[in-house]
Parts: sequence; structure tokens; C-alpha cells
Amino acid sequence: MSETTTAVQTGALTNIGFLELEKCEFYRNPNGFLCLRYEGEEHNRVQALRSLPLTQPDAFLCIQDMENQEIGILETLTTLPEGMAELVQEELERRYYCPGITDITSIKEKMGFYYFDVSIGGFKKTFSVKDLGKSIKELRRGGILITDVDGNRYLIPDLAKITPRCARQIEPYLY
Amino acid sequence: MNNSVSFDLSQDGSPCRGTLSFSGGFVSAEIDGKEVFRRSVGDILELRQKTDIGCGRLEMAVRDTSVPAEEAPRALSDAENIPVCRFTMTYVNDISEFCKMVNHYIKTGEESQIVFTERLRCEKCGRAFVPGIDICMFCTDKGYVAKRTFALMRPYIPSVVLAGIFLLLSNLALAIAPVLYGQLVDNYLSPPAGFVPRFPAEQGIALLALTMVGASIVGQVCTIFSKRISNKIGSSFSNDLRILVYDKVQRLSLTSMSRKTAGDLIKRVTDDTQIVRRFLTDQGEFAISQSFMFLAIAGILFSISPLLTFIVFVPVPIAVYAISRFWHFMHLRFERQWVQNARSRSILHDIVRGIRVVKTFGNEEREIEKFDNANKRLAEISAKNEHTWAMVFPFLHFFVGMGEFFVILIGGKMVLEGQMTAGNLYTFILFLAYIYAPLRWMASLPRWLAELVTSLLKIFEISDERQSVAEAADPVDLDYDGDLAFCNVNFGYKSYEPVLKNVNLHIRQGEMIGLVGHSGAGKSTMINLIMRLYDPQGGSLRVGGTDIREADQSVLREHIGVVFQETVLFAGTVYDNIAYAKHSASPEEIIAAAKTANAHEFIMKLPDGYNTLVGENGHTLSGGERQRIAIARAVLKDPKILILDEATSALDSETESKIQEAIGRLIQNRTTVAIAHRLATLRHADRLVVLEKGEIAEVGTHKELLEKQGLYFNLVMAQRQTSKLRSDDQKALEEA
Repeated sequence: MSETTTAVQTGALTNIGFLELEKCEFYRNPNGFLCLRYEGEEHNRVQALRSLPLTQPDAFLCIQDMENQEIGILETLTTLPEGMAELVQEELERRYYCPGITDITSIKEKMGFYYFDVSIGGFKKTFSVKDLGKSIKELRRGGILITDVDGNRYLIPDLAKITPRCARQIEPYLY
Repeated sequence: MNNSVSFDLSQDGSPCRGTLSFSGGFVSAEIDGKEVFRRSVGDILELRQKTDIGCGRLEMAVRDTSVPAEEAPRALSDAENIPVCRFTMTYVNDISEFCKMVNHYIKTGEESQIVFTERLRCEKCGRAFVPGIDICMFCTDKGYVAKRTFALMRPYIPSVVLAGIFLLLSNLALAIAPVLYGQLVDNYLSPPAGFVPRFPAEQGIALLALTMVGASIVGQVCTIFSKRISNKIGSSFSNDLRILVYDKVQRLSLTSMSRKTAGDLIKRVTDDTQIVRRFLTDQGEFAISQSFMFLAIAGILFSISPLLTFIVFVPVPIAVYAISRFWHFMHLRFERQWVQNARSRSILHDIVRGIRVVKTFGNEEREIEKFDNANKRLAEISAKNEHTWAMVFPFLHFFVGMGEFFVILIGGKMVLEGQMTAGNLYTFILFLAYIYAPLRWMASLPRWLAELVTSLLKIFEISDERQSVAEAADPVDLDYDGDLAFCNVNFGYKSYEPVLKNVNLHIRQGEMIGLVGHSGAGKSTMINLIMRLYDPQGGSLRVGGTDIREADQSVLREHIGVVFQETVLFAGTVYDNIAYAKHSASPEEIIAAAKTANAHEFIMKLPDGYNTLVGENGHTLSGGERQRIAIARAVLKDPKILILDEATSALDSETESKIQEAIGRLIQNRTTVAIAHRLATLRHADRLVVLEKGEIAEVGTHKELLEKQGLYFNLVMAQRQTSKLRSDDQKALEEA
């Protein structure tokens, strides 16, 4: 990140357009949508997008209006004042839905497709996965991201922290 | 009336069981039987589905009541939308259909039923179907692969049986040896007391030796026949499979092609079919002959000694169980090896294809390292598999053959106690080799099967995939004059993300239409639909009044010529590449087409003229030269509709003028649909169609649209501004 910042400062690259935190005010409108007041200008409903969703989910957050025009980039979520950080975090969680798998009941292979029976919180969920090499990604810090044939995503936040039985179930399928 | 669908997320993102319904002009949502949303669509402009990452949301866009009645209705800003429900991607298609139904009601006041365009879940197990495959893989019975393979092999069954018979004869001929050895011992070398052989000893031994030679010759001759037949079967069958897969790959829609890498597809066409061939050649006939041999020899052994035969077979059920467990384990490992192999190939394919970029950025070392890493990983996985195999196989081998030791122990005792002759024991032990051959082969079966089933599944996955652009069952004759119409066309590469919305456009015969708009507006999508690379999800495309889905695809494409921005030249001569549009073209036609395309001049400068090799390993042509070959192809095809997709972009001005001149000749008396980034190249079009977010925003001539000062005007002004900046920069540079 420091390299990029240096490049921006020296003008070697286009200015990345970081939002100045002291000029940002995130709030919700009566319909529950995230809005931004920035440099006195009202942006009535904005969306927050992750630039690096897999590697740095809480940094380089792109704030756009509903016409997909970029207002600016939030360098990190943590530097926002507490209440506002929560609002942006909620918006991110709403946009990037990736429930955590709490238990793996079984993984069955049938005709080249893999059928997962898992628990998400208290809910049982069954989904199927094809092309293991593409659909199961190992993330940094021991996480596993699984994408099913419909495009749903599921997360095992830390392989080291799930039960040994679950780990044994998933390990043969990690490429 | 079916007017409800399910959703599975509450507004706060927690999983739920929800139902979304539309009835009597009200949209309502229930979660676990409790109504959480209800709203009339009276002041609603439309329902809008928004797709996020791994989920989606449904919102109501509220009508802006301040818009005068004579103007087109508009929605208030997105900030005023009313959230209805949230859902995971599992329900995205259902919600999309719900949206269409409600929006139809809002527009027309007519209530309709939700039409589910495809079956998405298995009725039996409720699991989602894999996109593109219409059977539930979970519920498909285990014999599916075997059944499919046998179905494919049906034409070869007589040959396989013949090869098996020859191999069986060969094995039987060779299996006479133990019987002869037994006779040698019992009749001549160590005959029981009082035994008188049929022939004198010397004559008898010579006769036995002669029989052995005869049996050996018959055995070897039968082996030769068997091998020849099985090799032929293997080659023909793998050829059939390769053609089947290649044919299907050619017919797959662009959507499914884009889901697979080139390395992946190449591997399916070449390697996987090769693995099937190898299995058939090396294992298929062996399996058949060994099955018969097994039964025959088991009978002989039983006739010699039922007790010893029982001892031989005791470990078999345990071994079979162990083998079946091991097979599952190995299958997964071979799947992993397959994926890594396809990855390595994809990397290699990318590097070779993009070698110019790699060199330009000086990334050779990095790419070598990338390929090296992928290969190392492949080697690691392969080595692990081999290691596992090497560890388990000898153990299985030993376990299966454990009965042999007990046969020697108990059989030897039986000979000493006079319950069995030495010759019989000798024959029994020699026959054990024949009985253990199929048993030990079974122990090696997991490896073969794992490899075979992995490859067969990859092949069937392609061959079973439904064609999303289906051929008409009873195609109508296409008497086409060049008239083309988009009628209420709705299309999205994903059905829930519309790219074209309610497009209506009538293009008259001989008219030139320029498609204009920002990138992502839907221009390329419109020409993809004309070429029928995709089918619209709503409405229709009509050529000469006929829905293009009712016409034969090849006949339709005979009427369409295309010049793309990038022209792909196939390995072959310039002549072959021009003739690609019309294989039966005469040399006169080819040269005339090249002249019309302003290509003749540069072709004649090539060392071998029209016979110059181009494409891979051939002469390198410039972008402009390739473009002129493409135009020559189009000229030769003489299509009713011509599509120009950025045909003159990225060319220098001199080349562009030559190509423009050629295109000018080409478009005469043809219906032409052109996309060009540089708007100036479209100014002579009969009509310009301006697209904005998938909808037609403006239609008119260049002059009319400039006068209107709308979207087109803004696009032209923006481009002029850019050109002016460029020319100012140029001037400044020149002055400097």
C-alpha cells in the first residue's frame, strides 16, 4: 500500500481519489439505504464495493452512486468513525453475501459433482459444486471460499478453527 | 394460478423460508407464514431486481407523479425505492420470472402466470441442477457411466467379443501347459506304484513336448489376432469419442464455452479420449478373456480339489471390499491430478498465445516460473498418487494371493498323506498363476478405473450439455431478402441481468444501420443475437418475417457475413483463408473477392502469392492485411446481411481508407449493421440507432440526431473534443 501511496503522491499514477475522512458523513435514508454527504454534497443512496474482496476486504472500498459513478475510495474501514464504519460494514455485508459454514455433515461425489450438506448457523443447507479447482479457493489466513453452481458463496473463515471432523471432510477436496 | 416464488434471506441477511406472492395488484412477502411486506403496485413503476455478490435484492421503483401524463413515466431516484426482499443466487432466476410477471401487470393490467423457462431442481431430491445439464447427477444411478460407455461401444461389441474369444483361446492354449506338466510328473517322472502309462516313456514325453509346442503356437497366433482387433477397436472408439466431443465443442453456445478454458477443452478432446482408448486396448479385452478364464480355471481347480479351491478364494471378498474403498479414494486423487494438468495446459496456452505481451513486458522469467510452479505442483500430485499406489498395490497384491501359501502348506500335506497326487498338486499350483492373474488385475483396477471414470465423466459432461441455442426440430425454409426485425427483444447473458430491454427495431432490406452507444450499452449483444450466437429470453428476431429460431442455423448463417475488429487466420494458405467463406469457390472467385477487398495488391507481394502460408507457423500479416482477408471472405460469401464490428478500428489512416473503400463496395445492396467506435465512420449510415443501458434511446440520420442535440450529439461532441486535444498535442509536439 505504501508503494501505491508514494506513486500517487509523486504523481506517477492517476490520483487514486481517496475520500477525505473528515469530509465524509455516511447515514441511512428513511428507506434504509446508505447515503453519503461529502464536501457538502448529498449523495442520496450510494453503494460500497470492495476493490480486493478476497485479499483486503476492508481496504480500498470504492464508493459509487447508483449510476456506478465513483465518488471516491475509502482507504480503510477502520479509519472511519465508529458509527459510520458500522454503516459501511453493513452495506458491504449486504452486497457480499457469504455465510459462514459452521458444520459439514457430508460431502458426496456423484458423477463428477460434489454435493455438500452443511450447517449455516442453525440452518441446514445443501449445495453442489463443480470443478473443485475453480470452486474452492484457499484464502489467506487459512480461510476457504466455496462457490456453488448457482453462484452462491460460502466461507470457512479459518480451517484451523473448525472441528477436526469437518476439517477431515473438506481436506481431501482442497487442491 | 402460479404467482408466488420462494426467497431465502431476511432483510438483515439471516437465512429464512420466505414466499413472495402477487395477487389482486398487491405484492406480498411472508417469512415462516408471517407477512412481512405488503404493498399495492398502484404507484409503482416497476419491480427491480438487483444482483449483488452471492445474493440479490428486490426493490420497487416508485413512479414519479410529477411527470406530466403526456411524457413517458419515470421512477423517482433509486434512493426512494422500496426494499421488498433479499435472496441468495439459488432463487435469482425464480425472482427474475416473478419480476417479469409483476412488471407485465403494471404495464398492461393483465394478470399472467410465472413461466419457469427451465427446470432448476430435481423433483426427487430437491437439489439444484447443474446449469446446462438437465439430469440430476445426485439421483443418477451408479451404473450411469458404464451404461453410457456401453451405449457408445455398441457398434464395437461384436469386435470386442471376437477379440475376447481369440484371447480366451490363446489363454486356454497356454493354460494346457499345467495339465501337461501334471501328466509328465504323474505318468512318467514319478508315477504311482503300478501305474502303466498309455505310451512308452520316451514316446509319451516327446508327445507331451510336441503338444506343448503346438499349444504355444496356437496361443501366440490367437494373441496376435486378438491384439490386432483390440488395437483397431481402441483407435476407432477413441476417434469416435474425439469426434463426439469436438463436434459438441463446436456446437456449444458461447456461454458454455466461456465457462471452460482452452486447456480444459483441449484436454477433453485429446487426453481424455486417449485414456479411454488405452483402457480399452490394454484392459477391455483382458477383462473379457480373464473373466472366462477365471470361470474355466475355477472349475478345473474345483475338480482337482474343492478344499484347496476354497482356500484360494477366502481372501477374495475382503480384497474386493478393500478395492472398492480404495477406488473411491484414488478417484478423488486422479480428479485432482486432472485439474492440475488442465491448469498447466491453460498456463502454457496463455503464454504461447500472449508471447508478444510477455516479451514486451520482459516477463519471460516470471512466466517460466509460473509454468514451472504449475508443473511442479502437477509432478507433486502425480508423484503422491504414484506413491500411494506403490504403497497400497503390493499389499493388495500380496493379500489377494495369500491363499497360495496355504495351498502349498495344506496341499503338500495332502500329497504326503496320499489324498492327492504330486502331479495334481503341481497342476493346481501352476493353475493358481492363471486364477491369480484376474484377481491381481482386479487389485490394479482402482487405478485404471479412477483414471477412466474421471476422463469419461469429463467427456460426458461435454456431450450431455444442453445446447442453449437449439436447432429447430422442423426448420422452415428461409426465403430471405435482407429484411430484419427485433420484436420486443429482451436478453441478458444471465437471464436475471438484462442487457437488452424491450428492443424494437425494423431494419429494411439494403439499409445500413449504425449502432452507437457507450460500451456496455448492448451494441455487440445486438449483433450476437443477429448471428444467433444466443437466443433472446423474450421477444423474437425475425428475418424476412421468420423467427430465426425456426430457421436452420447453418442456413441462417449462410445469409450473414461478418467483419470483426480482430480477424483470425487459420493455419493454411491465403487462398484457403479466403475460401473459408465458400469452400467451393473457384480461383477466379477468390482473386475477384481479394480485388474487391483491396487485398490482391498485398497478396501479390507475398512470396508465394495466394499460396503463401499464413496463420500459425506461417507468414505474419498486419492488422490491415488481415482485415482485408476478412472483407474478401465476406465478399465471397455474398451475404444478405453484413455485420461490421469495429471493422476499421486500430488501423492507420492510409490502410483505413483502403478498407473503407473496400467496405463501401461490400455494403452495396446489402443490409448492413455496423458498430464503430469512431462515429465519423458511421455518418453515412441510413439510420443511426443510439443505445443507452440496453434500450433504444434515439434513432435517426447523423444530421437529424445532431440537430436533436441528445445523446448522439453528446457522444459526437465528446469525441470531437478528444480529437481536438489529440491534434493540439500533436501540434505542440511538432512545434517543440
